[in-house]
Amino acid sequence: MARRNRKNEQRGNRFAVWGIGIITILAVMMGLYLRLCSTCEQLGRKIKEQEYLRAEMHKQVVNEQRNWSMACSIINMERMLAAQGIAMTFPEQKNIIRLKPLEPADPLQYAQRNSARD
Amino acid sequence: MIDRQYIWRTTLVVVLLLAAWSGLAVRLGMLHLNDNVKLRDRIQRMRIVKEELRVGRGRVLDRNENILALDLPVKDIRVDPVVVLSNGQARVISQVLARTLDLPYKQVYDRVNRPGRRDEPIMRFATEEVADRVARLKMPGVFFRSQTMRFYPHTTLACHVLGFSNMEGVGSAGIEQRLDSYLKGRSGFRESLRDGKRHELPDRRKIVIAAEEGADVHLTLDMNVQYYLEKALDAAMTNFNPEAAWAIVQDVRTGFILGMASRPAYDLNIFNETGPDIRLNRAIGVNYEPGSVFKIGVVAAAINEGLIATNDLFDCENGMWFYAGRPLKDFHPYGILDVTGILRKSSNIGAAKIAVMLGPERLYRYLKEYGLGRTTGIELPGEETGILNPVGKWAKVDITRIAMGHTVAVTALQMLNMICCIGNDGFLMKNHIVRKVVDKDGVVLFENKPEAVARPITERTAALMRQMLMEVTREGGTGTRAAIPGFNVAGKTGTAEKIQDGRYVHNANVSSFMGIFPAERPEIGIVVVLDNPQPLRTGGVTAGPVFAQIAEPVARYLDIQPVNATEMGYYQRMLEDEP
Repeated sequence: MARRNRKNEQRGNRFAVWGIGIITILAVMMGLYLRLCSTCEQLGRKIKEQEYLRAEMHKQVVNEQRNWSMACSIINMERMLAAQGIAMTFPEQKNIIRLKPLEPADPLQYAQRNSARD
Repeated sequence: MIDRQYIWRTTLVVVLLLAAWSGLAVRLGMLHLNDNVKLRDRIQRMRIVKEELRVGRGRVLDRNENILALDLPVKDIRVDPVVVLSNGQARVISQVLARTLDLPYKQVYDRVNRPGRRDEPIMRFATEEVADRVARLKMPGVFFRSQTMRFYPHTTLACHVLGFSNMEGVGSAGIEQRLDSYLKGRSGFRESLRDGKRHELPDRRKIVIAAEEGADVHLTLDMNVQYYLEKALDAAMTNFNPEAAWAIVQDVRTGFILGMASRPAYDLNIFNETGPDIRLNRAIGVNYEPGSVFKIGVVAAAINEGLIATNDLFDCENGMWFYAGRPLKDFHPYGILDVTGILRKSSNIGAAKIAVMLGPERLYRYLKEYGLGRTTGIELPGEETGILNPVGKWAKVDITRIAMGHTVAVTALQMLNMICCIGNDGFLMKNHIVRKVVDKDGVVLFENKPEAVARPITERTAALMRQMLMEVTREGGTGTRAAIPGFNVAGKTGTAEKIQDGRYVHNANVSSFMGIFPAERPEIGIVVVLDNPQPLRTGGVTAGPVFAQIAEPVARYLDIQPVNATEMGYYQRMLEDEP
């Protein structure tokens, strides 16, 4: 009976281990690649959505700004008042009561007031 | 027999399939192994999408952040006549579009009924709401193209200051032109690929250069002050029938312009329907002989030089005086007048005698220091320099004519600066109409601060001048109609004869009034100029009331308080102190 060649046996196993290893690494890399591709695609879609949303929001903002500035326009206000038959004038000086703040507005003044109390 | 036929057919099918597969394999091999540069390029070209990322212009705002100009998203409504005609819907679609867009049917039908054309505009710059209304009708062959349009919500308000940007989005007048580089921003660029459905693949973007949106320009103008100003000018155009009118409101202490207007005006949203004459900003773009308002500069110079005092007496020669062999007349004859009287009555002879005392060199030096003969540098295009000849070019008689505001030409802004200099204790301020420019991230790109450019006269001279000029709007003065209740107004009237065909014409005038208030502590300066008002012609009766019509609501709106007794005492003491 011939003796078993252990050396050859070991070499065969090594190839199989290497092969499986390489295939596994390749599979992992392919998986990663696919994963990255799909993530990129998703992100791209999100970017596109956000861009569209931003453009729409910008449109809305600008339209609102236009409406607001038209509403604030003194010419339009006068036109509307005239249409309603309302005449507005400034009040007489004697009819104006000027309110002054009771509390000092400047933080430094607060500090001074507090230190004076101490 | 059946078997043989079956075998033959099967063989044929197999051979054909093999041939087809072989052909495909060969083609595949050729595509992969050959160079195929042309083919690759063609595919690449079809897939590549290069896009210019356009941005809107920045906004223009007044000093209270009210929007005066902005870019509005709009849509062009267009039709594809080939599609519409092939469906046989030309008449129906034309009717619906005409009704929805409020356009004449014939106009729409003419556009739709153009065989062979693929893109015909029906309405340009339709608002989003209008475009949505049309889109909801889902008409085949009707499509939209998005774009932006410059929109001016207040139509004619401040039209000469704002200017406009043309159809290509390039600023072509006013602030829009001068600050175009800030307003227009910078377009971006994107290069990426698209899929078979011609949709862009955002994950395949190769180059993305982000667009930079235009910066916002914040003006020193106040929309409400501007409105009062324009309302008064409109009334003046009706009441005094001038060919044109213009006025400016300035913050005396800072030199910032709060309002600037010219008449006739135009709607900025339809700027292309007006001519260049109407678009002219006369407040800075028209040189005119100022007339008697110019006397304040001469008198202030003489007082500043210590040549005269307010109560010095001058013989006004009963309305006729000869100098250098040429006669000089007063509108009304006067005998002896003090300096205050010369200003109050606006005596040409009195002012001419003061100018002669001053001498040409000194007068010229002062006029230059007031900023005459050069632009103010305000951030608006088309500013004139005025005409102030060097002394060497003056004829002997010129000094007497310059004293009464002839043989020199100025812009309204230059004249306003002269009186504001008197109101600002002798400091001549640099004019600004732009307060700041802010980019979309809120970064201030530049900001204008008040800046004194000269000090032609002293504080005391300025105070004396203000005291004398108050008399102009009081009983006996030429500008009583410019008075406003509750305030002392220091001002001066001017009525200059116009030159037509090289000669002065008596019945055609440039009438003006300029003033500052409250006279003791001036905050606001206003100049009003009417070009050839008829039948009333003098500045006191035409421009004076316009001044009051502007000043009164402006004082109320800006909450300008009249000077109280304590303040009055302070100013009085300052005048009584010897220099």
